[in-house]
Amino acid sequence: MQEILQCLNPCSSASNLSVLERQRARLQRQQSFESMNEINNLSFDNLISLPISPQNLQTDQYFCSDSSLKNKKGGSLRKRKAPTVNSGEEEEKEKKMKPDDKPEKFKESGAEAETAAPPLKRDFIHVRARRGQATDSHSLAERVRRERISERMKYLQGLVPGCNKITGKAGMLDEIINYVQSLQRQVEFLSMKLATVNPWIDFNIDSFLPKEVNLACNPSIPTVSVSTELVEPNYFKMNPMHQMATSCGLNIDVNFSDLVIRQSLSSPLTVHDTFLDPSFNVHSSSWDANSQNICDLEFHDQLPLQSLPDGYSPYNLKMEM
Amino acid sequence: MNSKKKRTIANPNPRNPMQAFHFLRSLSRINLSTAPFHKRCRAIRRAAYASMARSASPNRAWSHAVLYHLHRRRHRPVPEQARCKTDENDALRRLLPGGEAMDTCRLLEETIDYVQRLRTQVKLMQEIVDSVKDDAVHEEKRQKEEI
Repeated sequence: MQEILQCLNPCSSASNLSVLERQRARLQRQQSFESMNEINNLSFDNLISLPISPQNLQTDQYFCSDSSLKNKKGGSLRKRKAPTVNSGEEEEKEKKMKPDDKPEKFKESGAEAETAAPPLKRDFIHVRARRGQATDSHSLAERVRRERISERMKYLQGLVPGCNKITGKAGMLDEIINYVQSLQRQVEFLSMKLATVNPWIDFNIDSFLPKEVNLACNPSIPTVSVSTELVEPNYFKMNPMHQMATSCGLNIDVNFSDLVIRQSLSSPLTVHDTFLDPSFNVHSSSWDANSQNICDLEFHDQLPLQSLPDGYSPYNLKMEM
Repeated sequence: MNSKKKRTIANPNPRNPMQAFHFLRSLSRINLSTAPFHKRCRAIRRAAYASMARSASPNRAWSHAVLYHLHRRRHRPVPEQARCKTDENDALRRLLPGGEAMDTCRLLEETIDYVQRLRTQVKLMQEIVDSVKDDAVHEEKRQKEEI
């Protein structure tokens, strides 16, 4: 940074020699920075570096003429050196000749920026700040924020079906809201449907579990974490069903664990055996008596289901895989 | 004795089997209760949201909000300081659980995650309903044949 300012100072002397010297020195420095900058490229960055050309003279002259101005702005001419850029100005700032509100795509700005001023060939990495705009950290942060928001909106556009034609933020928001509402309504509707079909289903649902659980079981890491979840299951809704559970819950749990143990013996996964032990102990007394109560429950699941202790506290919010 | 055809449904979100697992487990527990229809309905709905929230990554605010609401059984308490934010994203904020106290950027992130999980949940439930219906149809046919 200081080097740049130093460069700018001799620039005010209008001798071409000093300009050339300065330019060459700068180019050397920038070429050395190029490699660093490429490594430190941020997602929005597009470092433009062109080979040396005689038009640099014009560049420097331009810089010369405005150097005093720019210096007053406190670093708007700051060229981006990757290591010295602080987090407040992490994006590129590009000096735009036209104070236009062009998009934040920095590669485009390289093409369009030269219109109103002497042709400014970019042959070094620019730190950009919009001309005529404040270059303080607030507006930069604002720009970063806006870009992040637009990035997320684009992702949402991909998520929400039928959003390809809508371009405005407001329209997108409406679509998103409609979609979320429709999804929530669908959940309600399907839960009603499930409630109706449930009573006479005989819990074929358990047959669904193997597929899902196999997916969980196969990688070893989810398996392990699943076990922790099972050890501390978070059944908030066991409370209303608690009375129910006491009468038939034990049977269910016993049956589950019974079946689980039966199947775990044949399962190739050995991880679960360790988890079976606690359930084993809990239900050892009542297995035989209740194992036939619910014979429809063919629980092909390989994961052990712990029966809930009655006073179970569902405060476990850390539930990550 | 049991010659029912067991159907396995495909996981609508292969990257997150836990959502399906939680939901199915809760569902099986609900099924065993003999609660009246509307209670079961609500319990299933709560189970759906709970399974969504539980399988979410823990830095998602909406999942905490959902679990909090479900646990406390309050209907969307809004913390006081959050009501100050009024901007164009109001409607989205109201939709998203816990969306009241977030800035726009974070709100969009949470929406993305929420939408993904909602979609998975809907697909999951739809598949369950479909396969259950199919099984029921097969069952009826079989019973008719036996008769």
